[in-house]
Amino acid sequence: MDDDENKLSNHPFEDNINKIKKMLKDCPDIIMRKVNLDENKSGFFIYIDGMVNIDLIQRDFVAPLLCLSFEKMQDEETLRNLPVTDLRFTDDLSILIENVLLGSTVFIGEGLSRAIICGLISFDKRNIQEPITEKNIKGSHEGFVESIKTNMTILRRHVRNTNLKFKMFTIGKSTNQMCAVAYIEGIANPDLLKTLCEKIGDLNFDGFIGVGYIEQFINDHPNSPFPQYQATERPDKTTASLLEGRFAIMLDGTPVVSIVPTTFFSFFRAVDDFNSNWIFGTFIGSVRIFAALIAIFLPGLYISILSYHYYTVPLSLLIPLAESRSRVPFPPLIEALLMELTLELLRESTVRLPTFVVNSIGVVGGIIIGQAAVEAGLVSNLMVIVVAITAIASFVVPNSDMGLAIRVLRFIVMLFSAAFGVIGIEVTATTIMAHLVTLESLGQPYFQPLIPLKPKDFKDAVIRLHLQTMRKRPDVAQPLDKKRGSGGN
Amino acid sequence: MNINKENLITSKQFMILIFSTMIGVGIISTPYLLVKEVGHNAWLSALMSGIISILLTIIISRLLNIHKDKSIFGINKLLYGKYAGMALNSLYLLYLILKTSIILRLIIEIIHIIIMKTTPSLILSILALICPFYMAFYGLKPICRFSNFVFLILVEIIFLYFVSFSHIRLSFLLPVGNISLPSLLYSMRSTAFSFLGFAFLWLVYPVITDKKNALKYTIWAMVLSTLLFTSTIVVTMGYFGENMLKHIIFPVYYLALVYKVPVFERIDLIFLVIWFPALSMTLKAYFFVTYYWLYQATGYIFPKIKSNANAFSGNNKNKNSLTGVKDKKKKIVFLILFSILIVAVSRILKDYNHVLKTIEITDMIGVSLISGMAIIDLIISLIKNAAGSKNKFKAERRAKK
Amino acid sequence: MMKKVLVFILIIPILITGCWDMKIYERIGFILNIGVESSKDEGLLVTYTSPVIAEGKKQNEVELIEVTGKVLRDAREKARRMSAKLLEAGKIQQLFVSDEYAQNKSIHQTFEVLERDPTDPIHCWVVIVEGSPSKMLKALSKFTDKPRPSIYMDNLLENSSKSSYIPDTKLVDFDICYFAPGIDPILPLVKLSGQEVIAIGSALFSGDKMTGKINTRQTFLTLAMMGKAKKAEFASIDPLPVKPDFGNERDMSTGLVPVKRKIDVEIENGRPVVNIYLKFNGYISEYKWDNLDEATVRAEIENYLAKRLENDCDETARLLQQHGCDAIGIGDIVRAKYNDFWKSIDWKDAYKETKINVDIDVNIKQFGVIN
Repeated sequence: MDDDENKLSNHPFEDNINKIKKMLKDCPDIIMRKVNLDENKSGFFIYIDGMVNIDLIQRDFVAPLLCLSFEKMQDEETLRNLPVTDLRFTDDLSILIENVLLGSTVFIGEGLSRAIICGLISFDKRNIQEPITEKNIKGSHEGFVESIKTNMTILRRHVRNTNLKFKMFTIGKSTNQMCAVAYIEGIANPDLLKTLCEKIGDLNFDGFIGVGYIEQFINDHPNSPFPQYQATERPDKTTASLLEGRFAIMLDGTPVVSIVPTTFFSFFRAVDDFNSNWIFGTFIGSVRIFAALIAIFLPGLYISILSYHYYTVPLSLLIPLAESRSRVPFPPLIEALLMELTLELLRESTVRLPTFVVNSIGVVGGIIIGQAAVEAGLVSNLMVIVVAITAIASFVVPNSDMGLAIRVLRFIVMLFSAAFGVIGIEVTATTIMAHLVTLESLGQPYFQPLIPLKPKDFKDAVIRLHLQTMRKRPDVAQPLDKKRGSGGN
Repeated sequence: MNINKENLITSKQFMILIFSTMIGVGIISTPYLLVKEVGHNAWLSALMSGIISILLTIIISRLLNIHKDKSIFGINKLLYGKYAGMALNSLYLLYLILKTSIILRLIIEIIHIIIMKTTPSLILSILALICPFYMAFYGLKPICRFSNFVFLILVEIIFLYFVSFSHIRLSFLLPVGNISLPSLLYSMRSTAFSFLGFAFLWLVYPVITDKKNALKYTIWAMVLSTLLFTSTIVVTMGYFGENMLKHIIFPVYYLALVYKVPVFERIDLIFLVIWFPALSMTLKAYFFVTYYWLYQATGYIFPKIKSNANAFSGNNKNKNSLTGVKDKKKKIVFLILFSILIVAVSRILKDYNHVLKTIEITDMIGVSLISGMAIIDLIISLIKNAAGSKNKFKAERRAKK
Repeated sequence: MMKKVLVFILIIPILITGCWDMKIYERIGFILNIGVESSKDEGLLVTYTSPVIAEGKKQNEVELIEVTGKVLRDAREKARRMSAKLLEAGKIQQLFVSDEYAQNKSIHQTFEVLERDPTDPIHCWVVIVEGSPSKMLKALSKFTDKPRPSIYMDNLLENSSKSSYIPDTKLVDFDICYFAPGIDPILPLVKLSGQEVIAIGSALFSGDKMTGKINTRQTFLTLAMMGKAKKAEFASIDPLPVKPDFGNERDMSTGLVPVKRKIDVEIENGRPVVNIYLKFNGYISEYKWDNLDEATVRAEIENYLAKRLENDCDETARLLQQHGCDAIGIGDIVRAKYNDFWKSIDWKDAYKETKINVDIDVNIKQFGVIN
């Protein structure tokens, strides 16, 4: 819209009101309340019912405003003494509408040079509660909510520092959502910030329903199964990442926050690890990586050994295994695929069912299907054990994106191992390693600190040492200020 | 030759690249040839090969320092003129192609002999080439990053040596040196297969960022791999004895075959499986280097093929530019043709012993080419430099007068 | 574009696959034991045992196949034509060879197929059987109070070798000793007797052929001289009569653990002289009830044991020389240290002339809980 078109002072009052009425036609939730001022002039209060704090608006904005005489109303200095916290003036029609949509109350008066915007926003939102997908034992049970202002408040409460900055963007052609990039100035690298902001500024899409949409548009390798952005609902995790110089992308309407840049090893860390003794942090971290390896390779290994390399089975297992396999009519690949696909069906069904059905599915799936399949002679005992261990191992990874990647990779490994035995697993593993090595997250190598080798970051990512040794920030986000504890100044 | 700045490598990465290239295939296949010739003095031979390679490295590095920022192909063209230089370069390129094919064939033979006997070689070639193809597309930096994995894998070989340590009979290695020096020198040609890895220095020199450290780190890589080779030969010789070792074609694998683990009984398959990335690393490095220089060479002869994005660059960040997409397509087509060439050449050989003979011939060519080029080029460059500085000196004196 | 090509390349192998090398697990018959002896005509009589996979009742059954063939692989092919399962030799646990076969034919040549094929284990036991392995395997498969033949034999051999009654020689050890010019291998020796199989000692080899036998005590001493006696377990010496100084004569029994071994070879007058020094720790298991707290008594026992062991060692060394089996590896040491001397002689003859001196020290460490 043309600037001149937009300016309220360029057109007579009636024209402006008609324009606004036309825009707000068939929007019954946006209310235009007419009031009569002195000298036969009229004014309109425009607000969205349900997004404003009705009590405060009536008491502190409408009442004092209407008590003013018409001359005082035209004087902006007097208006600034209105007892509301957020008071602005604008001459621009589009800004006016934008603010109404955000939840502010707007007053347009005939004869007033500018419209008054008062932002006493209050709407219903979810309570701050623990996110269901990321639980922990020893930390805070707070999680982000859908309103971006509340999220920004939560972050500000965690980092009480003026260096916590938010860069705001409005994205989505039809939805006009607010998006913020949070970072700590003085720690975060300005080059990375610039790249990120450019990418978000270039976004050109209808509407971004979740933060995953943003991720998919701005990541460097859209065809890779591995996630290059870490999604989280927890403010403590976000704070820890901000302190390392990373960026958090927040989107209005979704409680999930996207952290970038990230490395492969950060998907295997939970906040709990840093909250307890370093010995347990290291132990559990290694258990997680071991679980990820098992989840990807165990079924493939099972298939390849049974199909090609019988001689690697130890003597004590030789005969019981043959006995249990002899009753199964299928070759190992079909047997494994059968069980794995059943498990995938089970998993998908339990994710979206209402809670009271989930428990019974657990019993049905776990015990009955497994046992019954063995009794019916469809699968062997060892296969059931393998599938169960794989399933449990794939749940160990704390991040859901990485868990999805592992599930898909497992099937590829199984197919290749059935075709080529151990060499199939080999080639797949080498290709996965090659892929991980070329991946980058916001330009930073994905597989550090292992490759490229950065030994001083080991104590953070691969193993966990005592907190006293962590005096320097890891290199992932190329922070400006390497030493922790200087306040980010 | 414009180089994409994002894919330069440091000399430390270069060191790891050379180290993993040299030991990948070399450890599994080479000790056999060496031991067949010299018996229990093979470790002396390996040690001396290492020393001579280090000397050659110093010569090459001196040569490269004189001509700054050029690779061997550029230097040859400079020193010998356009046509003679091109002829020499093509000879060297042919040698590189042959060597890449032999490495591919070696890997396939190892898989054939040890794991799967009847799977057709074509399928195995495709499997083995998937990774080099993928990484050659992305450039040199990811290949260097991948080579870091070799350090993790090295642990298993060292573990194997520790475990076999108690069974080593030192008497198998004695008496030392009861062999004539000429035959020792002659036997060193069998080690050339892996030790010629230092020749990467003059192929990759233009993209190394801190060139003054290049010599230091290359020598480190040579020292480490010489150590590893010598200890391999010492351990396998001490364990099996020279007569038996003359019959075993994969000594390190045999060592893994012999060790009986308490629970799993046999770990030879696990050994090979874990070692596979190192094998493919050798193939990747040679594949990429040969492909890159072939690309450059054909770009020189047929300018239509040459493009702005060159192979040292990885994923072209400029997704929207037309030249970016076209270049990617050109690159992929060239890669496919190149892979087909390598597979075809590798099928010419008949069986493993034929491969071993071809390795000997190729390495004789390689050794003579490389050492010849190195020494002669250095001498000519020194003479030219001396002449050049003499001219400069004369010009200065004239200017002073 | 790159991704499309990659995906295409990745899919091709799966589509073309015919699974060339597939060996489905449950269709394979694992050969667990092989017995080899000479058959009446020129070839070998080979016996294979492989376990029967069935549920419930027939828990320990084995399938026994007996074939003749010229070479081992030939026999296996014949056996494959008889068995329902594809016989594979990847899990062989023991190879049994009859002593008469070992005396006349070459073991190394026979089992060379096992080394050539990388799927075959080369750390399987090679055992010489006094008698016919075929009869022994047949009898073993009929034992009702013992586990499957291969597992039973595996446990038996494992336990006996831990106590140094038989040498711990696997196929690869045999080969190493065979190829090395100065060492000769020794192999375990068993015998079928009634309802049991007994480990009776070792078989001596010179080159590739069997030349003699020694019993378990001599095996222990040979292993101690080789430096290969197991240190964890100890061999209990047959009861020795005690000097009649303390009233009633009584036999004594001791456990011995070798702790030190020093071997020294010198050439004197064109003849190698070997000095071996062995040190043992002793643990008395059976003795007369008292008097062990006196130092003199202990010293006397130690001396007695040392002398007795030295005698036995001399006799063992004599036997080894007589059968031309250089198990201790003296030839290897001569080759390493005195290479010119080695080149000038034929070791087989020189070995018989070698003088072997053994010096033994015994240290009694413990006596149990009574004194």
